[in-house]
Amino acid sequence: MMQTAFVLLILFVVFTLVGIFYIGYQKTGIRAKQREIEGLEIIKRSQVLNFLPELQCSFDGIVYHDCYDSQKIAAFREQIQNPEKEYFYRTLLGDISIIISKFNGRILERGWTDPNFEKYDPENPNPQRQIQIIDEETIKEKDKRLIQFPVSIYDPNNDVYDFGVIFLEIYQ
Amino acid sequence: MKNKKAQFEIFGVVLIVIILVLAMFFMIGNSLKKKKDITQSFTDAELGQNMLTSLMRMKIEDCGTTFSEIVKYCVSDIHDKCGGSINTCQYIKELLKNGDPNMPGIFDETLEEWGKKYRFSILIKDSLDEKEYDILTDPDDKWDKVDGTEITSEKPCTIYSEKEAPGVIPLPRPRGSGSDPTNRFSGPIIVKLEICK
Repeated sequence: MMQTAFVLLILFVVFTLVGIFYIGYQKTGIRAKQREIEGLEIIKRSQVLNFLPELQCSFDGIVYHDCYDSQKIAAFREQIQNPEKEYFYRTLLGDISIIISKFNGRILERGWTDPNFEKYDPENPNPQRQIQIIDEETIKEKDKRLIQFPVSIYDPNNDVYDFGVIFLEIYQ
Repeated sequence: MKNKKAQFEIFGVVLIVIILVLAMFFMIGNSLKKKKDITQSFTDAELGQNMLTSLMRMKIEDCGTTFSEIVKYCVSDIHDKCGGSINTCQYIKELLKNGDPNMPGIFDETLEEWGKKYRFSILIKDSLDEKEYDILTDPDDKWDKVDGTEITSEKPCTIYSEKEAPGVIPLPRPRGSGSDPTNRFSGPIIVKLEICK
């Protein structure tokens, strides 16, 4: 009688431990899945940005991939100041901050030195030169993730391409 | 009889414990496996090609032409286009990776900052042995004054490292005087940027 009770007790303990480990394992799996979904969302938004005709270079109606027109960037920055337009782009891109840096390759001035483009510095952001589709309160409330990719920046006035990098801060 | 029954019960409990321990090892092993962030995987897969495409189009103010043209100058032994007596191949090296923090190279400010391991090479096929050589490491000391080091990250990215899809851009070999007087090289110029995992 005692033996049976003892065995039953051990089995009960064992099954409880199994249950705890299984729940823990499932929790890890769910968290990993959530991170994956967040990652896919970030990729989706970066692709939407990459294919926005408002920023991309185009010649005779043909859009060039991985190329951003500097005049279009300036115009877009102005457009975003309009609350209606900002709302439209927020539905498209979510809460994001776009920082575009242009690299100067000259021997004496080498680096991110163009005054019209932002050098990426998360500690000292310059909202005047960033394209922000987000309000200050949301910046404090949400977590930020960064993605960056190299691009060409086309100057239509001089018909030249420069090397640049887009830094995309995505708030989730 | 009672003894045998008890033995069987204990045997059953031991069996269950062994199965549970094995299952635990499996779960712990699975959760310890390093999984790469999906965003990083996506950006790294395209980073090599995007970086090269953007570089090739870039106008180099010092040389008055694009990066793809100065690569051709480097291969053709034309060294008077980027000002002064600087060797064009050496200029390319310093433009991309320069140890001086006051005059950073493009890869110093991008790939190194982002913690990526990479190798950049300009490859030419030798018509004699049909092997590919990296011009920037200066095989057989053909290009005088070129420092024979590779353009690679601080953390090494060797030919044996696991890699993402490389960025590769073929350029046509320039024709005309100074292009390849000994007709030593055949095929296009291959500009390659490998990103290591």
